[in-house]
Amino acid sequence: MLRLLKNFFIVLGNLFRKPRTVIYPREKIIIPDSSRGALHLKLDLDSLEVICNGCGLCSVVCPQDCIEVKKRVGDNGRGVLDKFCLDLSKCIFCGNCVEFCKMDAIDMSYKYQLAEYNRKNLRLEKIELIKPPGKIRSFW
Amino acid sequence: MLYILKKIFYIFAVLVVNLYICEYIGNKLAARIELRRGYRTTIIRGAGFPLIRSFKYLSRDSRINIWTFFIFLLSFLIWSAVPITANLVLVEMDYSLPVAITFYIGLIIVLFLNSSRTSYSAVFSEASKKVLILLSFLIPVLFSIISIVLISKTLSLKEIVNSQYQYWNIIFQPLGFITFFISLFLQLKLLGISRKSYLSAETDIGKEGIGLGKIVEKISVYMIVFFSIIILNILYLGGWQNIYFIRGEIALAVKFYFIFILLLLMDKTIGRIDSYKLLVRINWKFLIPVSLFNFIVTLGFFVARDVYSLI
Repeated sequence: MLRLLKNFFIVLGNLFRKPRTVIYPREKIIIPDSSRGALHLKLDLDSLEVICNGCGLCSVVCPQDCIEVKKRVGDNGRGVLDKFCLDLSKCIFCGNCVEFCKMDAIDMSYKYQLAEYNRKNLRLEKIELIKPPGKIRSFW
Repeated sequence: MLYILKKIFYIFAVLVVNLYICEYIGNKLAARIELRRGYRTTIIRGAGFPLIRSFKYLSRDSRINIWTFFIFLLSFLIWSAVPITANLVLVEMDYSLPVAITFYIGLIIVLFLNSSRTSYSAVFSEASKKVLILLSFLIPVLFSIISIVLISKTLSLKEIVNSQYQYWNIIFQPLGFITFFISLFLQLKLLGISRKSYLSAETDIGKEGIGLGKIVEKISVYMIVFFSIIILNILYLGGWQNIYFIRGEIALAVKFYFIFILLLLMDKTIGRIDSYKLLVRINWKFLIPVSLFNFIVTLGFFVARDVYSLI
């Protein structure tokens, strides 16, 4: 009986609390801190080139095998990233690749509205991954 | 003739407006209680939502049976005997209380017949169990009503209200009120106020051919809710008696919505009761004994006073 009374007052109190849900396209909320969105390739701010050297560790540690990396030898004899491909239809946003990257060349962006009509569009190439990811937490 | 038509129009208007407001309050409150936004289909914060929902049902194919017609008829016929206010009653009679209860029971039985698809399922289905429980909840209600009738010495609802000009019956019959209210609440719980009706649990909007029938069923459930609250008001809370300077009709409306919101809150507090054994236990171990005790005490009081002149 006491529990019922307690429940009743919780229910009554809920009338004066703010709703927790929003109606998606009309109302927006701030994306929670450190939430994981699509992968982003970092750029070197001085040379504006990709930091990644194409070592391929991320594709090795990826549990879903959704990252495809190819490297080539650059003009100065160092390894340069040639192809970086991410299959978002497979990605589970575990963040393993970010953690294992020695160069700290990739990070998880806050971009998460990733729905597409065509599966082919979910295959992101290097150019698309370099695009500014909305690093700052944006609204929906 | 014109006079009766005018009355029918007024009763119909009151019911429809009430239906709209209650549906709106129900949706809004249910959403707020569950900490969600609620319906905002229309621009004015969902004020047009009940209308839109009814259109949603109406636009579907409907395959109605004969019971749907009876449900519709009874849900409005139930108001022929019950006075909404002092003058707003279709047929003034001395036995309005038993007539109203008969209509109420009839409506429940017709709802049950509508919910069962075949004659076999009518007897053996889960719905029959629910209806039997629903009807067994009428036993404490009847005991409470008989106690009120003993006090007021009349079977007319109008005269029961008039007899409460000084004190409301809730002062003389607190136990009766509690049992009446709880059994009423559990009946409404079985019928489903804010959730999907228990009786019509099988019919879903996704299914074929339940457009118009569903609306009629929903209206009938609302009519049962209105009827129960009005009867509770009339029997225990002074009906349309003026409270100081407040007009009786306004007082009745305030009491009506207060009880309606209270029922909604209680409905959300308790959640869905799936165990019928629990309901049966509440009824037979608490409600019926308490209401019977209340009835015996009331009867004993009148016997001691009127027959033996002890009090």
